[in-house]
Amino acid sequence: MFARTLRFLAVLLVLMPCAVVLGQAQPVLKFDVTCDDAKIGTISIDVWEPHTPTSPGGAAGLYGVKIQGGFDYAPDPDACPLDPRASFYWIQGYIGQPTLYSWESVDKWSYDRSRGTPDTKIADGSPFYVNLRGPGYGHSTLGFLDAPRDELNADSPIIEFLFQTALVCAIPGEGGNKGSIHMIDGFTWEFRWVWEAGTPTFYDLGVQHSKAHFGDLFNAFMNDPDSDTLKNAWNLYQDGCCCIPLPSAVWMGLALLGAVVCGAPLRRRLAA
Amino acid sequence: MFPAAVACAAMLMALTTGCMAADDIPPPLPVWLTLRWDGPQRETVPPLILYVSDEVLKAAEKDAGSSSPWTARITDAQLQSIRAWTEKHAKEPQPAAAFRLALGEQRQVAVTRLSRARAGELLALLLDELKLGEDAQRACRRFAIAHGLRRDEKPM
Repeated sequence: MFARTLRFLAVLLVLMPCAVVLGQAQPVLKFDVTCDDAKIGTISIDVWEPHTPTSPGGAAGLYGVKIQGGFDYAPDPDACPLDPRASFYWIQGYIGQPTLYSWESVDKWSYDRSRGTPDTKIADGSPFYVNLRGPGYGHSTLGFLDAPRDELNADSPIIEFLFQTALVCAIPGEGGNKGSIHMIDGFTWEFRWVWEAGTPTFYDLGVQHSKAHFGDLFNAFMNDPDSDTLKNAWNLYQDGCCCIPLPSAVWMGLALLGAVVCGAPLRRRLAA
Repeated sequence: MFPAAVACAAMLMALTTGCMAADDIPPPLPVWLTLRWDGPQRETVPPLILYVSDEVLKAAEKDAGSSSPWTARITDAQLQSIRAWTEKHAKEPQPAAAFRLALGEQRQVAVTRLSRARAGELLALLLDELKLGEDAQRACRRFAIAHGLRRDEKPM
């Protein structure tokens, strides 16, 4: 009897951690984001899956992928101080087929923002990816969700895309000057759907931590037909991270030190 | 004879009243609304989710396919006005690439597909006529701007 109970407890001890691990959804991709060699937070991709007409939010005849995750800002103590005017956003570019807008080309990178009328004009007048511009999907700083999709059938038998997503920080322009956007880190994701003998087949080409196409994303920004929303209003940099410039930080530190040092005798004199 | 006739009449009356009462029961009222683009897309614009009570929010998010920053409470009366507007346009030809408007009742969902122009009219109803609360106004305005259905706002 005692031996049986012991055996039961042993099995339970082995199985319990397994159940805990299986019960938790593991991120598809998770990596630290650094700025000047110090960690400022983490990007996680929690969902990466084919999107079909029967997926939640799906639509008849439309196929693609769903990718969801986010950024959590949690700077290490040695990380540089963030400019108080700065905010975090996503920007995104892609290359592939089929094209959606009149100005696109299958062999050129496009800047990923929804267009209005005319279809060269970014609908909301912002360079930043709209989903999201704040916390969400379980992430405290910046959620991310995309479900690009297209018709897949005998007339349109291939959907294939490579996306570059970048976490950026942005400081708005003041007094008529351009704002600045710094690409900090990013990930690429790629997929293909093929209509083969009346059957849709999905090819998962993966999601990975990568800045390999930051240059292509930069070029898409610079060559976009809506220059008033993009390059005429913002400077885009492929590095940097909106830290307070060192001299200011040093001066602020010195000022604080001065206030403490000079304030003490003054307080003593006033007290006397 | 007389008591039997009275009983029969009473039974008939009860039956008639019962039938009338059944006829008078209004159809279930929608308790949430979702509006989203339902065609090919690159960037995925968050859906608009309007709901009347916390208990129905999960059902609305399930219909929309995700949660959304553009989620807000509205009143029963406002949702009924939207339903009345929807019923006027429900019999129009349904465009292929369109906005998908879903009105959710307790047990079923009524889906209407709206052309870009019609979606613009619905947003005008929401923003200009229904006197929505501040959160709902903001959610509708953001959705409208993101889809280029409104232009009279500052860039975000």
